[in-house]
Amino acid sequence: MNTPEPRLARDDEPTVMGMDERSAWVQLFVFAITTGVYLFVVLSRVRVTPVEEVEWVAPLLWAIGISIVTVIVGSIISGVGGAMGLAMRGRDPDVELKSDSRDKDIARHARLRTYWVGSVLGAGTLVLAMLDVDTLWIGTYVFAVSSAGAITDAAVRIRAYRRGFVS
Amino acid sequence: MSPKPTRVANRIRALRAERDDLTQAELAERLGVTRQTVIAIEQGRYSPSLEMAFQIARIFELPLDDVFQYGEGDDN
Repeated sequence: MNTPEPRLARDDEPTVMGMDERSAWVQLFVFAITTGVYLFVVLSRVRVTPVEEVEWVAPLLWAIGISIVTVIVGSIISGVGGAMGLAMRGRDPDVELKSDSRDKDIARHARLRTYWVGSVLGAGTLVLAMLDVDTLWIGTYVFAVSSAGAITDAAVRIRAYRRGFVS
Repeated sequence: MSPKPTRVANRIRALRAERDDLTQAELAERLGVTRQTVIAIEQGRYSPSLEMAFQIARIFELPLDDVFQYGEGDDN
């Protein structure tokens, strides 16, 4: 059975989110949730156990692993869902979901605006090391700063997609 | 509605209508971008690169400043 050629969208049809915007939304939610869960688990243990005895390495590795895998899988699932929706309406997912120059400009715009999160907040790691605090606090701080960078990056990208930006 | 982030205005929507109702998707296809990007340019939410601006002007067979205008105001 021949499938009809995909058609171009009409102006009166709603647009769909491209792959990069979908990934930004997934990144925002995944890092917010995994970081929140990690902090809840570890800080709950700190309240009832001496800091030096708290097991934090395994939860941290799980949080990092789950974050990375979920962002990748979530972006793929979101993209496949979008592609199926477009295909059912006879439209071309390859054309409507692809990345273009605006996506690249938005990614660069977000990188420039979130650089400070990694660099300025990252310097706090030095302060914690100088204060000779427990490694739990250093590991947790580094993870939290990395997550804050990922969340800020996603939020800046989403804002640029929704409200526009000047590069 | 929030103010447009760019002071670069354009007549793309009007020019599309004049050119036998060239659709956003058709213009996007000729530019090699998505329809979302054409919409963002039309609405002033995205300033295209100089190269893309020239491509758009060439599609409409017009000089660049017949398609794009830079708004008056503070130049800082």
